[in-house]
Amino acid sequence: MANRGVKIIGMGAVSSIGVGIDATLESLRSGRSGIGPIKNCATTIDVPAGEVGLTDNEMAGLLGLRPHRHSRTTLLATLAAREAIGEAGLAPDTLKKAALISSTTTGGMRETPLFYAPYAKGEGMGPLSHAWRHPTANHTDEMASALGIGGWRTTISTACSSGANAILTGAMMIESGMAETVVAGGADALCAFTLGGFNSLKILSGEACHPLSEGRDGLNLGEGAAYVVMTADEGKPSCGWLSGWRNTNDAYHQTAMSDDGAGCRASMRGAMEKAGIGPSGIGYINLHGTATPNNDQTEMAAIEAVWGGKIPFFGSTKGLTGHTLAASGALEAVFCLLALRERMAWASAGLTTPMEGHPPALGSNGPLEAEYALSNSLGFGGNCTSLIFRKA
Amino acid sequence: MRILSSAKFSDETDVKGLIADSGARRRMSRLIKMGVATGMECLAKAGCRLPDAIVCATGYGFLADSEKLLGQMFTAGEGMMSPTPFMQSTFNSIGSSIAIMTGCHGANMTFADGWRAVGSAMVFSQLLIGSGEAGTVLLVAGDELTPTLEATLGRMGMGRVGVAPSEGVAAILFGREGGMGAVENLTPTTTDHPVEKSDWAYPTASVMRLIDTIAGGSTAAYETSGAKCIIRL
Amino acid sequence: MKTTKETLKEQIIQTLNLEDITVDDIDDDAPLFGEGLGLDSIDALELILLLERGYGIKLSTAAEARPIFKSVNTMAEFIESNAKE
Repeated sequence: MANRGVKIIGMGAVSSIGVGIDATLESLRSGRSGIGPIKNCATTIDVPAGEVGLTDNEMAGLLGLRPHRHSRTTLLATLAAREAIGEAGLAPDTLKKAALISSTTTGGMRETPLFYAPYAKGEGMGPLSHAWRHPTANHTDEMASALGIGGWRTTISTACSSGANAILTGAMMIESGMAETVVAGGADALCAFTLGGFNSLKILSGEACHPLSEGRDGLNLGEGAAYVVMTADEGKPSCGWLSGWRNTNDAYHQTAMSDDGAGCRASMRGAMEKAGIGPSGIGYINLHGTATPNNDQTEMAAIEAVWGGKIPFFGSTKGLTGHTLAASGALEAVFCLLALRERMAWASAGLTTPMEGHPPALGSNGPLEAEYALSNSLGFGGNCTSLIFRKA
Repeated sequence: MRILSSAKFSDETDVKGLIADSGARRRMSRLIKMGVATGMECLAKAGCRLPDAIVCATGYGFLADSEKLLGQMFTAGEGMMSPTPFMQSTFNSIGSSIAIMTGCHGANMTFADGWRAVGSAMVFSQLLIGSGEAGTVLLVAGDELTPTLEATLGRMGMGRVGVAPSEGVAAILFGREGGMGAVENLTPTTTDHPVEKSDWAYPTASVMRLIDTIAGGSTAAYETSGAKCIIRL
Repeated sequence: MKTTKETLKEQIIQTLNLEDITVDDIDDDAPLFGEGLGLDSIDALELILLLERGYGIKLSTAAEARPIFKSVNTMAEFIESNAKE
């Protein structure tokens, strides 16, 4: 028995492929990638990344905020959430009671060196404002304040599955009656700390990444933010539904998935169970698909175990945006909603020779008539989240 | 939901006994070790080998690892950062370590939410149990105090307004039935300031207060930043 | 006077946080990965960094590292022939 799920009434997105839903959709249609040389982030790591094409000052200007007063993560988050709230058409009173569930892995880490570097060199602390903005919770408070979101709020941080988990938590709150309207999603700014950290794990590619391809050699990092507005309000027109969701843990290793992708298998099956549909109901799978040898191999193993020989259109969009960490689960939720709305399954960007011994990912955008799309987000620490979306 | 057991980290906590595998222990930073040991102790007290879900709460995360990495960045450059502390600095490290040790494939959520972290984790625990997704939920809350954090809080004037930085870890096992008492009428709350001033610097303190309320033995109201409930014993 | 191998063993113990192991516990010839000490891929990354930070030797891929990290003997030989001050 299919579960109706939770109604989505607004979405917003900022990434290297576009500021706003319209620009993002344009890039999805044309396959225009946002990955390129790093221009806006001081680092010695020589890799390409997906940077948002706006400086902090430009974002502050768009938001009517004072420059140098907010972390880049806050600015990205506020920009995306503002669009989502705008589409949702929330009355100020509703907004004042709306819950905000945000997520990030970096928080203010891009700016933290300004506070910490002189201290580490024994010269005393840098400007305190950067320390204030370091914690993950800070961006949640600042975006709530900037946008007038006045209800219950929290900050989730589960590595790469953060944004998906924020949406999952929002859905659970609405379904349980704990909240009536929720703004949920995630944001992460590119920073030297993350580049250095991923480099130390040797999972970055030195060129534009090739998810789901033979010979893929690592991921590209990206930055961005995306939010959806969900509501229990029967009266509002929807832009889609969140029908199923499940968070599981692979319980195998901190930074690698088990060979058979058990955690991912369980999250996909769990989400379908929640949605009340079987594998044949899904028309498009947006994989986590980071292009690391381990992730794509294990995620495909999980998908093949669940769908057997009849896998629907599938692909990764990280070849367009890079891996936007906490934003990715929310950004790719938006991509699924757009896929259903536009009736188009997105090509798996960066695909070269498909992985040997596996069915090929989608080579170019294809027509999508199905009602449901599924998105995976698999994080460090074995965290696996699957979300299932339904057409409006 | 019901309260099945609780544990607080102390000098008496038998870390080597609770985390017997030295190969696992060596990969854990101090805060992760405290978190995992306390979580495992909480499970043992309830006779529960495998919880259905794990929910973690931290105010500011793994500061010691972050500082180590930042130090490496400045002295040797981004190219010379160590992978182990980078892994350990991710906010869901305690939750994932316990999942690996117990083989728990259920939901695994981490709230890194300053002084609201504990309230958030309690709300989510209730959502898991209330929806039927989990029969037992292990909640682990932890914060560590580094010299830098202490100095920074001092510079922010926290001492003057009576905020005492501290550190600690505590865990509670919630369930659907049995146990020593119940959490009733759990409601999310919206606050602009922490319920207790010290929660600002040491968010885990609010779990300590919850455990103390439970130990008090009589039914009482409990409130933390982000959630309130009745503890019925 | 400490030998290269003794120093190396101390560095391995320290870098990989091998709590209950002493220099005497590590056999010069014993396999470091898989069996023996039972190190894994994350440890390999840490040892690559150790070579760079401690001895100025930069390895370009993890695959290149595998034969070098077979045992303390192979590591010490590699360091002796490649170390830059």
